[in-house]
Amino acid sequence: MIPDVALVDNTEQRTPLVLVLDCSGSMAGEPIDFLNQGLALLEQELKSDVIAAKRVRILVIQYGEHDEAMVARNWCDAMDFTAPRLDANGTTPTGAAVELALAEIEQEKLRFRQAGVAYTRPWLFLMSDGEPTDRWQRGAEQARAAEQANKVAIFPIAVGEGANLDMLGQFSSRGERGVKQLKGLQFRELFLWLSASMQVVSQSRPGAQAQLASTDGWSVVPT
Amino acid sequence: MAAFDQLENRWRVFGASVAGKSHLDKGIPCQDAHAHVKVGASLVAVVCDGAGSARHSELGAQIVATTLAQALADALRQGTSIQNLHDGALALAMAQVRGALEEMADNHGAVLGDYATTVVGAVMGPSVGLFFHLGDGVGVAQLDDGGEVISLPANGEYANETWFLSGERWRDQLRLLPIPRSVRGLVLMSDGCMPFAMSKHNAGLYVPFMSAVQNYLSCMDDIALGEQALAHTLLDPRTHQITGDDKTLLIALRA
Repeated sequence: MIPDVALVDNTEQRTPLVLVLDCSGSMAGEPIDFLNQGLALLEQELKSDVIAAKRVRILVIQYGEHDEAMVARNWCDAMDFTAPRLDANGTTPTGAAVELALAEIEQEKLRFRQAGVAYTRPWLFLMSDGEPTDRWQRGAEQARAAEQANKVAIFPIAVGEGANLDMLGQFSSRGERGVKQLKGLQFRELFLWLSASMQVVSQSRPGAQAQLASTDGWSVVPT
Repeated sequence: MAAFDQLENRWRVFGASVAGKSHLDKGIPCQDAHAHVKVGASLVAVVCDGAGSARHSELGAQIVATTLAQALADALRQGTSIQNLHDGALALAMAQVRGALEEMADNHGAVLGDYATTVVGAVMGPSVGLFFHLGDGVGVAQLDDGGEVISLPANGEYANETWFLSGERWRDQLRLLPIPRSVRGLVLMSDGCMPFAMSKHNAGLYVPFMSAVQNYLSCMDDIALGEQALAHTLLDPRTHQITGDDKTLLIALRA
């Protein structure tokens, strides 16, 4: 062993994670409560992993009110993230929310490049329990194009029986096959899986495939 | 006097490749490799990092490091200059190594991608030299008059993706970087060492790590003992908090 060698981590690397969350009126009651608990769990889990706390970078976008999509928590490292308490009311501007998310992702990448910070492919989680009330097709088209161009990985999640799987599928380059249906209101399991996956991806290295856990704990195959 | 010059230009090269924590835990062998050949006052050195997702990447890394270093040494012996290497001879040598690997893959019922590996290396003559680089890892030339020439990793957009010699577009992805003046040291490393051997943003060698290592090695008369100490340092449990990846460091000091 060579004496007096400093061994510290000088890596500057980020794994961006964007949550696009349906806060329309139909989410009121248990769904929004369980979603909020899931977000708090995500905060806790990511903070407990030394590397993920430094590398995962989170943005939360909520949509509802009068067809409004807005930033609920601006970009921050997981170690600085505090889960928002979201309220449910209003309409479902799914398209506008996704457009905002895609624009935010490219801006954040630009800031990374300017600062010389390396990053992994951003993950975008789109959750919805109902029908969009805005002109969502443009957002869906942008989402598919962005995913095909490898700019982002998109995971549409259908919440409850009322979600429109066909519409959600149009936000994924894999179509309806890309959509996961949340089992009941198992947000807890979903966010535990998401946290575990972020821990893997944030430490992944070139040439190695990230081994992610199965989603069986929280999703059912849409029929 | 000529013999004295030769002595003055002798390289002392220390290399170590060790398995990372995630490979140790799973019983997977180290998929990094390094090789070097001295030709007169010149040095050829190569570090390869086999892709974790490829079936035979540890073989790919070993074969490419060894045969490429040998091929470039042969070229130097035949009078090929650094300029010739820059102007096509290096890419030609790499194409031949890649071709031989493809043939071997065929003979073993495998495909070239099963041997996927990155390449970072240098050919250093008495006064000028050249980095060649495909994918990630880093090469640093420590110039005699101070300053560093750094061959940076290329990853495409994302940090967890990179390029390999087995790739279709390897010729486009191959980067050559001239080393314009004589050097006192050359350092090559795989990406597993980068977090602690390079400073933030890969701006330069991380002095609190590298100067301790180089000072120690510069006093070592026995190369084998020096390499052993280097390997132990790379296996230090403190590195497990930083990376789970295989780690290779090759340090060439001009005596």
